Amino acid sequence: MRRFLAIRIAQSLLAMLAISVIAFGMTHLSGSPVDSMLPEDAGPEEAAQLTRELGLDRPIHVQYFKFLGRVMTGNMGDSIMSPGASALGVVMDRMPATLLLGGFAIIVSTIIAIPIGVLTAVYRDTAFDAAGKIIALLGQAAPPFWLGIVLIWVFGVTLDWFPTSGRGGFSHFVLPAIAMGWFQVAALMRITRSSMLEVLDSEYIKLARVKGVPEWRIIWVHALRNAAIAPLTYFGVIAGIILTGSVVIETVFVWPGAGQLAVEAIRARDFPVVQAVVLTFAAVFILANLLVDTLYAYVDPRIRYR
Amino acid sequence: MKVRYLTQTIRNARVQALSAISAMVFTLGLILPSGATPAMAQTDKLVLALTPPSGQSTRFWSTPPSWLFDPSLESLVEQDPVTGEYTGNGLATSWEHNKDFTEWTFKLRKGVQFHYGFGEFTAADVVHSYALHTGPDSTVPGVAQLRGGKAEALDRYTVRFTYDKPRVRLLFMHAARALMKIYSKAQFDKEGLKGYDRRFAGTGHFRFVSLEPTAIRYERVDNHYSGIVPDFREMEMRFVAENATKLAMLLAGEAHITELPRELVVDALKAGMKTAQSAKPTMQTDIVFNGLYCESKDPNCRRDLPWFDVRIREAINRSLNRQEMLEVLFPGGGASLAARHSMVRGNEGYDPMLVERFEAEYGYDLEKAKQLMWHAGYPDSFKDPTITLIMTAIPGQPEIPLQMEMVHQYLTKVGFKVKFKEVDHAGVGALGRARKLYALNPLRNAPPRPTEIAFRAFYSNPGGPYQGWEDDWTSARIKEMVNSVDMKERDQIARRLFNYLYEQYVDIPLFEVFTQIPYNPKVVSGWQFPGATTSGYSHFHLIKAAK
Repeated sequence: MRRFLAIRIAQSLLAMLAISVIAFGMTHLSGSPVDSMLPEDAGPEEAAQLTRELGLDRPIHVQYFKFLGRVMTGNMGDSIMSPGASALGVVMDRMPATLLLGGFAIIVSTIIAIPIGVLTAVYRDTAFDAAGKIIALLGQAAPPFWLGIVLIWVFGVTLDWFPTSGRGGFSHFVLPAIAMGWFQVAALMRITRSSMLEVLDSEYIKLARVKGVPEWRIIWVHALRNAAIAPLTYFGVIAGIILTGSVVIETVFVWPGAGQLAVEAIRARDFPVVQAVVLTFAAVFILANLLVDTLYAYVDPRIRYR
Repeated sequence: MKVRYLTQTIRNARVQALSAISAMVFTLGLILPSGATPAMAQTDKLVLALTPPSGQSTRFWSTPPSWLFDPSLESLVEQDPVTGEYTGNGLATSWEHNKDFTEWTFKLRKGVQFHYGFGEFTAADVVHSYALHTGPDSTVPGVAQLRGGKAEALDRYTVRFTYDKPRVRLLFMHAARALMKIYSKAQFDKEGLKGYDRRFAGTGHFRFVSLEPTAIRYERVDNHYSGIVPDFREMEMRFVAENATKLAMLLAGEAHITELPRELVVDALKAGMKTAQSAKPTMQTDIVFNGLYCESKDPNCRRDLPWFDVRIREAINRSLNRQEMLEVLFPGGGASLAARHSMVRGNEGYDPMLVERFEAEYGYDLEKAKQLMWHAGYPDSFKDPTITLIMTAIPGQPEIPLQMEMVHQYLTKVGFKVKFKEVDHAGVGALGRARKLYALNPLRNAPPRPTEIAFRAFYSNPGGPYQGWEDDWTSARIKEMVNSVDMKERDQIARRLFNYLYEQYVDIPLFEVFTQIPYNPKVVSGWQFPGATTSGYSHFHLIKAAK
């Protein structure tokens, strides 16, 4: 188990290093922050001076290693759009809102997806199953920003059930969480359904039926317990989807999280903040997957010896 | 036995389905709020949904200026809410300049108190604020016009700015452009910049309460020196990027005023909303023929560009159906055609003859456009006959993409080869500074600048995103004007320049546009603002509550 963990941690660190190269490279490819920092009427001399001050005139590899050195010490530079604040500090201020919304989205998607997945398996090839497939199709096909706007329009404006935007009480979570979690509903539902179908065909389920165990108990206790392993492993992937989805959903719903911050930072060419957001999201995603891998290895010892 | 088992299974399945549905309904019941949120719970708090600022800071000088701090931080010179004229009703009660406009002396209002007990506003605060706004970290657009001088307190209520060169239009910088907000020196001395970051003290009609990731909050001041008490006790500006969300907030009653692109304003009006309109045009729109960097044999001058030929420039102007564009881009009205961007009625060099001649010499005429192209030998005489259009997003002007799409269609229709170049706004600036912007580039002149400042911004070295036309004659005239303090002479030079630029078809003048902002008439009854600031909005204290 220790060897397994050591290998996984080393792989995670390698992945973080690769992401740091990509984050650094992509932000530099998008143009210089000097262009957005300077006043419109600034001339070439002022641009050159600011470029020198920010160290952007040095070779790109020198800039990268300086950046990496800072990252190792937890210093990702100062924010450009929030003078006086550190980039990582700005991101950390916004992360709780993102994680809270993401967590809520996972709960909402689980509450909706698991029962539908189970029932579509139980009522295989019926109208209910067909309806479930349509939900899955729509869920995976509908872009989250479009779904978010539709939800705002129907439930926020027309029915006036929920606030259209912003962060506040419990009701503020509902629409963004549904919009964020809807894709996961479709995916989770499909995984649950196929897993349930496999389990429902197994011998021990048939035996339970022969023994006269009530059908609800067979489905919701015996079958679901075993069928749940596959959806559980999917939660590592969900963490990534939720974080990347937050960029769009938080912008549409004016949610003060790190996703919205990423959009603002990109618009302002705030390199340090963009890099801090990317690396933080990557770290959360890698940690979540590491956790899932470890749990999976714990549950299924065969994994450790592969 | 088998039938019985099946019946039992189906019955059980129905029970399970019903149970599952009941559980979901129950869960939804828990999630759903107990009652609909009342659309208009209170009118004591005004909520505006506005486009997010490009910075999250209370330091005006390092955050690109916007409406963000207007309710609390005042400029030196106040503008009349109707005429936009500079008045002595603000922090400065009067001003005078020496003969050559190198010294400006401002008399300050006595008894003005900074919020949160930071004492009386004095000349020391002006000197302090000038240092902040002209420092090395200042990113205020147009700060070059403010820099290069010295601010000194002559006494407690008198401050003087001294410059080496004439600053004829200094008041524009302190009023309409509002490049310098007045911060409290006492607060700085006591708390430093951290104090400003936490809670800055201003002198405006609203006290700053907090700056959050998605909103800035204010509360009204009941004893402002102007004697005006805002109708709303609290004011919150929410930063909303998505236009659909802004409209939804307005219709759901979560925001009472919001800025929308003009096509969505129509939807807001259909839903019973009203619009407040600026008293004066807020901006002029135009398209610049970039890349004509030909002053003093500049190597960046590209004589092979199709639009280097004046006939092509005229043909492009003739290809555009401005009336149609106006109806599509600004259906809410409030826009009018202008003869030249940067030429404003009442400003130096204004020539009404150009306005009269405009339709005949710039108007939509496809036959004339084709003739001009033929005479110029288009496309065969040009190494690369492609007309490049910049597709970008300019803050405050959401119509730009549609405008450029229309231009693309008009030019294609008449026979030009056209392509788009997608660049973000900062990228356009970078290309302009490098003098490598070879394209037709949309321009926003907001607020319409005084003539001299417009000439310096658009037609003189060393270039910028809107630097199109430049030649030795134009540059020489601009220098003459900048250095002249004789008003009559300046007016004549400006008029000659306007006529020359007009006849050279140096750009594509489009529209004069008023700021229109939708509001909920159940909460707001009106808003009087001149539209003479960069963002278009100002005078937030004059937003009137519906009775």
